[in-house]
Amino acid sequence: MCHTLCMAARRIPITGSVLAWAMAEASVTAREVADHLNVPEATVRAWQDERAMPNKGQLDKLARFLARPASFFFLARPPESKFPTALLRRASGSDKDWRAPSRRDRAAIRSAQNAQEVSRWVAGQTKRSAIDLPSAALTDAPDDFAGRLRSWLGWRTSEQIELRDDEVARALRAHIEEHGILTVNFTLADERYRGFCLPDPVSPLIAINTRDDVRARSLSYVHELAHLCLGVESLCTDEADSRTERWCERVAGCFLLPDAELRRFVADVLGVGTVREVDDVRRLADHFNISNRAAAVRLSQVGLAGSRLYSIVNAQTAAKSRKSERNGVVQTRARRRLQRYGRTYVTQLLSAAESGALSDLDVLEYLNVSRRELAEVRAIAFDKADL
Amino acid sequence: MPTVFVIDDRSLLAIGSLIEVGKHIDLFSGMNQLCESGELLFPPEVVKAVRQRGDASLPIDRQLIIWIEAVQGRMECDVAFGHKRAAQLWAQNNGYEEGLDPFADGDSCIVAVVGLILDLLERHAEFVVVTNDFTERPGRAALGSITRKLGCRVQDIQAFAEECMRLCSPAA
Repeated sequence: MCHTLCMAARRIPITGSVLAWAMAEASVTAREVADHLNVPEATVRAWQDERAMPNKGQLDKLARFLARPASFFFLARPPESKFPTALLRRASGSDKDWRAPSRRDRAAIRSAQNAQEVSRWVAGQTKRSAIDLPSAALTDAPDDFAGRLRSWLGWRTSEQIELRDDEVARALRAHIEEHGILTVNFTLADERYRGFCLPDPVSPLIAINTRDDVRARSLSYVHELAHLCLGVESLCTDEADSRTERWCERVAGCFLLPDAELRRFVADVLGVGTVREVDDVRRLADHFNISNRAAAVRLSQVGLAGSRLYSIVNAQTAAKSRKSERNGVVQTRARRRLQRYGRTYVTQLLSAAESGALSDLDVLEYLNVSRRELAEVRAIAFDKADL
Repeated sequence: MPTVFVIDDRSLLAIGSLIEVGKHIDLFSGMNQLCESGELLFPPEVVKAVRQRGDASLPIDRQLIIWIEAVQGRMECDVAFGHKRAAQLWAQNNGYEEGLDPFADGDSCIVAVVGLILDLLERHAEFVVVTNDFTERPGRAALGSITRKLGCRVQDIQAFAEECMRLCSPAA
């Protein structure tokens, strides 16, 4: 009993400047940390100034809250920041309603950066060459570039139409991954963020927010892919308010709903000159397996939308977002890790382990799984079946 | 004064696969003897990591987990926070800017193991670090490289395992 009490009261000498740095990196205030740990704000400030020390339970909570290992707070000094600054500011143009990424979003970005660093390192060990992404410029016509992307990925609109709507994003992810691009899924705190990308010659990475509607994710994959082709990192919201964002959005729309097919459907199937009814938007979206919002945007882009059509569709869509369904497949931790990190990253790690560039123990640590879970990951990672 | 062996989670998780299954009993008996005599040391963080990564459905991991849980109660090897801080200070001064385990998703034990090594160095103890981990990769420092930089003696895992098994042979 006494031992337990002594352990609980034991104070841990963390480095105050490192705590302050980690809080700034996570974009959290002393008030937020204090609320989370249920301590006075003055206590957190005292830890930062090294006038007081947390106990074991408080340090563990602090580490989890700031998404760092507890040992991080034993560093002698704050490390240099590796956070991509471009992701912290609006790319260009308007800063209307811009909120910097939250603690959880930043943790996701850091986790993606770590995976990218590992992938890049593995590429160096295994002599994996750079990915030959189609290069793009903002002066490229979006519909033309979307066509180039479709042929580069081997994506056919007819295939997209035949799939079930919740299968399109997964199929698209698989096509992107076949080209060696890392794709990771995160549940970002802010659902306004649709995803982000981190360009790199050998290990480019696309991250998608799983809070987003399952149909909308297809658009996000292509949108981020367009950013990679431009060679610029991005953190994208649902408002395309810069020239780059608008261009990527337009490419994504044209990719999933090419101009010619769109015009044909409106004229031949809907039988109208201008789409004014939400039901018609829904029919268009259902046919091409895209979100209602994306369909409304495309109609506006080609001048086939009635006035305020997008606003009406947008208001209705925001109210009901549909999550991905997994058709009764038991979601084990191994599957969830594979869904999060994607097949490209996981198979790169497994292949590196087979070639001796990494050990199985390295892979266990990178994926944060046990040996049993790694065996399951190995069994399903190379299988083409749906996760 | 006998030489002390320091071992980490990676070496423990690897050791079983380097030895024939039929000799595992001798291996664990030998390691047991070393623990009893205080000649095999690892901090509690290593026990946690082995439990977390090991697979109790595999015979070798099951034996390892049973063994480590049995010996941990008898081993007093807590690493002082001062030595963990010293480990991270050493890391930052030796090219590991973000410390020894910056990618750890939760806790890892490398900081505690290096803290233990620094403690033993401070006390001028005779010790050997058991590891084959010399490949530097992102996210976690390689224990073998660290021990070399610190000028400590290193023993290959296989050689350590054979030494453990010899302790149980009739001639020993």
